Order: sequence, then structure tokens, then C-alpha cells
Amino acid sequence: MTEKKTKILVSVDGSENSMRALKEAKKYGEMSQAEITILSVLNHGFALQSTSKTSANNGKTEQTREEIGEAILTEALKSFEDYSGDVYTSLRNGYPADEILEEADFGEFDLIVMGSRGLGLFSRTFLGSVSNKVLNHAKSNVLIVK
Amino acid sequence: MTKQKKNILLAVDGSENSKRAVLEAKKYGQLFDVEITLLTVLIPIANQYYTYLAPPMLEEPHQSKEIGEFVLKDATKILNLSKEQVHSKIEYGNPADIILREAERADYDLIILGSRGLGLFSRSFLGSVSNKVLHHTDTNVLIVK
Repeated sequence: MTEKKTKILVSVDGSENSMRALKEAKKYGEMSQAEITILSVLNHGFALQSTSKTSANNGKTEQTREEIGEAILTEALKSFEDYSGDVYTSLRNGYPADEILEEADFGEFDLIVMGSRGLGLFSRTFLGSVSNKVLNHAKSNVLIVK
Repeated sequence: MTKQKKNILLAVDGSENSKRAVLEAKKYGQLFDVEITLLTVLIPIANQYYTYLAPPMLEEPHQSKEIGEFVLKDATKILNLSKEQVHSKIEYGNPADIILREAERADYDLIILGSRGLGLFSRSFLGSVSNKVLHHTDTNVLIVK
């Protein structure tokens, strides 16, 4: 009897918190050979801050943002080299919460794993705005990693 | 592969949502070497009459213990784990505060709870209990829809 594989969506943004979320997703996925999709969202507002030191040229900024997203995914994939199930990556553009929800819906994921807060400046005990929005609108279960 | 140990706090209230949370905990039980603390919190019953007419009560009336015991018994049955793996607890008071207190008391790897329980509908899709717990705990939380 073939059982439907569990599908897990992990969203990462390069923060320490999201790296922990990735680790948790792997631990859970490993035990059930779940199919994992690692999602990185290029956030219009945030990325501009981090690339402000580079050229003011709009074209160059776009490329740098995408490079950051790709780099995050490449780094994330490294920790999955020994993973027994299928791993996919996804790079999206837009407001993180909306993109995560869209990806979750589209891929019919069973579980969304994310950090409680990403690169924001809030203290550890608060829930970031991204995870807050995802929690309130996701149809699937959500694992919040602190 | 040896199963990894996981200490889980599973808060239940007898609602359909909480039943789904129990089923998720059951999945964890199949994948990991779990120890589950089943917690249900009995809430105070507001009684508009007794505060006005009756003398002050020494103890505030709460939902009956029988309800709590029934909820725990039902959850234990669904989990279908060995007796050593499940610890049941009935507490009295504010559910979010009690869950947070319990999460502090012992070293849990994960808190599992429903997104909404038996509480009144709020504007957001996340109930007040899960909302408060999420905001104040350092432990990972699995929100079951």
C-alpha cells in the first residue's frame, strides 16, 4: 500500500532562526521521508536595505537580490545532502507572507515550517509579522521554530 | 535508525480542533520516541448571580473535573501509546497562562495545540490561547488547523 508522502514547506531568509527551522523540518521529514520544498522569498522592501551599499542602478539591485535568494537556497541545500527524501527549492518575489501562503496553497503542503521571526529586530519572544500572517491564513498546520 | 527522543506538551480542550492536534501528536508518536504530557485546563465559570447576591466564595467555581477527565481519557485513547509515554494533567485557570507555565516547568521540545479551541470566535483565525502561547514561549509550537 503506497502512502501519500508528507509534503513540507520550509521558508528561509538567511537568518539564524530560519536555519533552525530548516533543521527542524529536516528532522521531522527524515523520519517520514517527506518531500521538502525550501522556499526563499525576495522581499522588495527588505532586500533594498541590504543592497544599498551596492550601485544605485536598478538593474544591478535586482540581480543582487536574486543572487542573495539563490545563495540562501544553495546554503540551505547543503544541509540536505544526506537527506533520504526528495528536496526542492523555490525562489519567489514579493511580500514573504503572501508568497509563502501562495506556495503552500499551490503545492498542497501538509506542513509549513518557519522561524518565529526572521531578520527583524524584535526580541525572541515576539512573533514576527510574517509568521503571524502565515499562521492566520494557512490552511495547513504550521510549525513555528523559535 | 534509532528514534529520536521528543518531550511534547499537548494541550487539549475536547474540541474538534484539539482532536486533530491529538492526531498530529499521534503521528509524532509513530516517528519519534515521545513522552507526551496531556494537559487540559478547566476554566472558571462566570456566575453573575453569586457575585451580587451570595456571600464571597472561598473558591471560584470551575468547569467540572469530569469534563477534564473525559477529555484526557479520550485523547489518551486516540494516542494509543504505552502508559509510560503519556502523563495526564488537569489544571485550573486561564488556559494560555497554564500552558505557558507548564512549558516553563519542564523541558519540552515541542508544544502542540489547535489553532482555535472551544473559545469564542475572534476576528483573527488564530484563537486567543494559541496566540498568547506563541507569543510568550521559547519552545517550538506546532499549530494544528
